[in-house]
Amino acid sequence: MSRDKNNNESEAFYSCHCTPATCRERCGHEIVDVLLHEQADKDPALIDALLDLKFALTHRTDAEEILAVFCDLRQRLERRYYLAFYRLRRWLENQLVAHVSPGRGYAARSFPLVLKSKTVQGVTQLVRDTARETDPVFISTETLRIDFAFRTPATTASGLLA
Amino acid sequence: MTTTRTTSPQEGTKTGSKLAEGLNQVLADTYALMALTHHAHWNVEGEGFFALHAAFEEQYNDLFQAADEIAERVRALGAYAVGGLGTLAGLAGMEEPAAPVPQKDFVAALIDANEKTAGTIRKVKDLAGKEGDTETEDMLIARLQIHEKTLWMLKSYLK
Repeated sequence: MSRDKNNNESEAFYSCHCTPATCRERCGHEIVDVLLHEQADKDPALIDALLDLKFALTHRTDAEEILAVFCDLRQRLERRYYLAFYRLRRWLENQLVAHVSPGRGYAARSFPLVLKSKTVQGVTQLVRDTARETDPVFISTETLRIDFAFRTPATTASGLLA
Repeated sequence: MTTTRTTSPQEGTKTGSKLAEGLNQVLADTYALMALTHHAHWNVEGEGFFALHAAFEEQYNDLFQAADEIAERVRALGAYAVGGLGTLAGLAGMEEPAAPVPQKDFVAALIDANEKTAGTIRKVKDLAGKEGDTETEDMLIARLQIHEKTLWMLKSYLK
């Protein structure tokens, strides 16, 4: 990147926003790619799980599917590669959001995802609990509708809308 | 752009020069990292508590002294040091974990923050080298060595 051509030069030069929680779209892909490179010929099961996530992220299949793939990968990643797991988890928490509504046709309210749980069911339960603690309208409703979605529209590697 | 070769305010960089701005970014990163490390020192819990609690204390004490040294270098260059918690945090832009978090998350967050700080230092060190400011360059090389050592220790903990 050229850093000497505009008035925002200092900001561009010194401000790195590329931390997993606030980074650009590609960071999660890069974490997966680095892991794949390091894992070549070492752990076929981990490679399979990484490739599943890479495929899901590249094609931006539905967000719940990405969560499910991440939960599967987590079991193989967390103990051995905690830093990569942490960065991927924080990146995903920033990429995805939960929309909660009392049911179809009602206005939904968005909640950030906290990926403490190791299963999609657990993540969903945490969102449900948070929603009920936050907004009384969700307490009276027995079955909440919870949809996972991306915070931002899909982008290509160059940052353009796909 | 002002060229910086001297160490006195009278002869050195004016406020807003690129090197002074860079040093202020190093200052902001260092201060924010100190606060994150202090936060981790207070709130870490679990099996590795004593080792992490003590290591974080050593790290934030070093960062506090470093922030003072960096700020005084900014002044020596004839510029003013940035300050105020909001300003420093805004400039640094580091993720702040909200306790309670697992101890490994504290360590991972500090790895990211140390890497961010080391990255800034590397850029400003190179700039100081290009401008012939060996005193600033020397100070930043020393800081870089400390961050690299800290990163080695933190990463070793996660393995």
